[in-house]
Amino acid sequence: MQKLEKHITNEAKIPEPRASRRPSWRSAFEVVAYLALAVFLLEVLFRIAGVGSQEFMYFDQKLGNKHIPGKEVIWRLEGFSAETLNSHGYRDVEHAVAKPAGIKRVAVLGDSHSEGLQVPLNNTYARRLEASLNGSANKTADKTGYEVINFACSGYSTAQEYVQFSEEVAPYKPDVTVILMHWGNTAANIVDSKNRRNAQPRPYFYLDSEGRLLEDNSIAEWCYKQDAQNEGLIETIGFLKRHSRIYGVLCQTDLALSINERLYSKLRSFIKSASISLQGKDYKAEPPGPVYPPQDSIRVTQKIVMALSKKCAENDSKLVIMLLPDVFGVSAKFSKDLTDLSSQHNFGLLDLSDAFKKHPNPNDVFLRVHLSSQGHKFVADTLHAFLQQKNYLQ
Amino acid sequence: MLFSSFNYLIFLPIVFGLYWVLPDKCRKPLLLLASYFFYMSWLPKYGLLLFGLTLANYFLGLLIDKSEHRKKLFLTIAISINLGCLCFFKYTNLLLDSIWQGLRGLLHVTGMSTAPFANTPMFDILLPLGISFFAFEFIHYVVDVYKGSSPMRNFIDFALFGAFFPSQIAGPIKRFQDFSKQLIHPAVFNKQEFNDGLVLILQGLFKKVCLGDTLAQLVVDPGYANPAALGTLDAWIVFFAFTFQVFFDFSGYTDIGRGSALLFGYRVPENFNLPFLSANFLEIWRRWHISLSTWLRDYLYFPLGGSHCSVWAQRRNLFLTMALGGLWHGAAWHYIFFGCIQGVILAVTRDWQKYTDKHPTLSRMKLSAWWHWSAVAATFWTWTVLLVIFRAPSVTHAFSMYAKAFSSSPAGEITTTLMTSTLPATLCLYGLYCITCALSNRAVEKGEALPAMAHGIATVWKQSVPARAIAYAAMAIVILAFAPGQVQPFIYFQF
Repeated sequence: MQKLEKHITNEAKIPEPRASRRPSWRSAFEVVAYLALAVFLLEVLFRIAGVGSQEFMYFDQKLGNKHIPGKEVIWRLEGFSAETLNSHGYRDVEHAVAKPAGIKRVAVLGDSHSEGLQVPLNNTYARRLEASLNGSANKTADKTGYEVINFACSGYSTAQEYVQFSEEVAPYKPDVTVILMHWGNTAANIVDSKNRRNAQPRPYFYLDSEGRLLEDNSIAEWCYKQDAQNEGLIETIGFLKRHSRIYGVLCQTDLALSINERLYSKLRSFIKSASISLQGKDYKAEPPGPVYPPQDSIRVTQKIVMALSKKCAENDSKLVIMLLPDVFGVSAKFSKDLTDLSSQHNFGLLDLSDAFKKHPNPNDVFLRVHLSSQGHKFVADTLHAFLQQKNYLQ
Repeated sequence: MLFSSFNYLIFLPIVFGLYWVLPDKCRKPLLLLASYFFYMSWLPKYGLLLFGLTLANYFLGLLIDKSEHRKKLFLTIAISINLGCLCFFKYTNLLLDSIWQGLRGLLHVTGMSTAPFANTPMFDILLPLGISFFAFEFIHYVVDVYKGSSPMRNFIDFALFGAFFPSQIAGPIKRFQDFSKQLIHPAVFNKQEFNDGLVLILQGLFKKVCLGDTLAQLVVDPGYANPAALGTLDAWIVFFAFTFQVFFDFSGYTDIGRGSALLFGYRVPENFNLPFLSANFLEIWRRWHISLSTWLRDYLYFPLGGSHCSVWAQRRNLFLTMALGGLWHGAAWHYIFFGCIQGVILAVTRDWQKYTDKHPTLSRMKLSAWWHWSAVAATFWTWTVLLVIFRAPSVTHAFSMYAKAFSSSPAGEITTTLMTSTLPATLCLYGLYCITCALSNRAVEKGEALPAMAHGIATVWKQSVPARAIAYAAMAIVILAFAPGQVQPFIYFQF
């Protein structure tokens, strides 16, 4: 094949053009024309091949980030799925906000594990749970219908899920609210109040000197103000996110390189600092916000769960905290503390580790990091059994 | 440093810029420094090994050239040093493991306790990258000097020959006569070479990252990791996927290496020439990893007697050459087994060729197109099936893969994964690129005029710098778009 690949142009055969000075307007026109042609061809190629469609988030002042409603997402980073987010931006089928009569609702909150972009939509545990609940209802001639609504979003912390409940979930009036958590979620619930500069723009929580849970949304607020100053740029980026596959490819590359290449992430932060300095701003400037002592992420998370349980109860919803199987054996204490808390604060706790240990093919439950289709089925089945056993949907 | 890593993307332009900015006398030392930096970025201490071998071979080469009566002695010392290093780093643990296994077997048969030999003592040896390649280059150097070639007298030139980063880690195995010729004249920047180099680098990256790595991550690695989960169709897909993976990986590496060398005005040999269009195994080894097969021919097969001996000696020579070629690939029995099978097939192919040449009907049939293409298909299929032994971690594992391929199991997940991936689109794109190149080359070779549109594109490519710059950027974006999540090391790095 090497021979086939030998130069697309055999330049020696093409006569050397006579050197002549071109007017600069013609050169500029050439650049624009070739650029436009290249962009057009790449966009067409990427659409045909189904690549560059993995950018699906936009910045939100309250939640940090949200799904772009109606965005087509073709996921290939781990596993595969090709679906469109619903008109509210959830990775789910369409659901009316008003709860229909005779319907029991389950709201699913969580991060990428619940969002399940790694598997087709109908294989996610939320969709499977809805199917199995309705299937068992049909078998027993139970007239109740069940709706499971998936509010999960990649990278969400428990803090974001807490805010999301009031902002988005409560109007759907769920009878049960399920949150799939893992130990890794806890660190994202707090921020070092003296080093906010490099933190993700999202809501954080902290405990004041009297142990009260307080929200710190200073970073998201600060980013929002910065964005307001660059409205044109933000709109352009929003447009590119929604419509450009080339932009999607570049963002995906940026993410992959930031994770995998140390030199790239160093260069990236250097360029960012330099560009801020060039604008005459101090790149070391900290976003303003409340100052508080360093926080214990586990304690804050426990407080968030307690607060969420209270909020669910106020909205006639039963909270169920579901813990992802603890494959690496790091969260035994976290799980035990939550179990104690669940009995004190009357929320359901389902630690999937126990069922996972009994799974006949534990290697099939996960892909590289996230749940496989079999994994989603395992979660749906275990959750269904738990809801039935506890009579949470009666 | 991987050619397909971000570090190389930074390293190459810096070295390129400095190379052409600095005066000519500084360029070779700069390339040498860059090559050592490239090598030592992986494990600094092995830079000393490379330097030590370079020093030893340089002086031994000069001694071989000068000496009247002790040429053979110096040659023996040089070969011993090179092979000694190669064997120590590569084969010590295999040897220990084999001895211990043998002892255990012996004790078991004689009914004695195997407890004292229960655990094989293993050295904690990390194989220096590229040692198989530069050791072979040094052996070629001292042997050729012994045969009468003039040695390289300039140490910087010689050190650059041994360490030249575009071919340092996985070849192609250079010949010093070709390389030293390029060192005589001052380097002059050539626009054509620059463009050819960039196209080769981008083409190599596409082959390596978009095709080779994707095949590895989606099909080959999961397939070989769990043969029990494979269906019959899956097993065959995995077999063919590995054949293409190893080709795209290695020829992609070679393209990037050749392209990088061209940016500095150097040419390194080609390593592949349409290997899958070979009509027999003798031909495939003339087209696949050319620099290794010619090395094995010149420094192993010919010294063993080549084809100037009895029929059985010829067969033995072929067998030994290929068995050692198999061992060169890695310190494991499945590589040796792979090499032995290749040796047997080559010997049988040669006998078959001699037989058909003598047989008038068969020799007429051999000229027909259907015979040729059937032979191409059979060769490709056999090559694919044999590569399973090469890829599998052990011979037993390879046989469990064969068992799946020749059973009738329902399709597993690999088929679905493959169809939902970008791979079909990537392969189509690559096919389109190859067809365009083939048609363009054929038209030029036959002296035919290119179609109007192709001629227009070629003219724009030739004349417009912005068009070329935009096209390179577009090609780079295509590579990023079709690249899998994680970059994999090159297969031949482990050899």
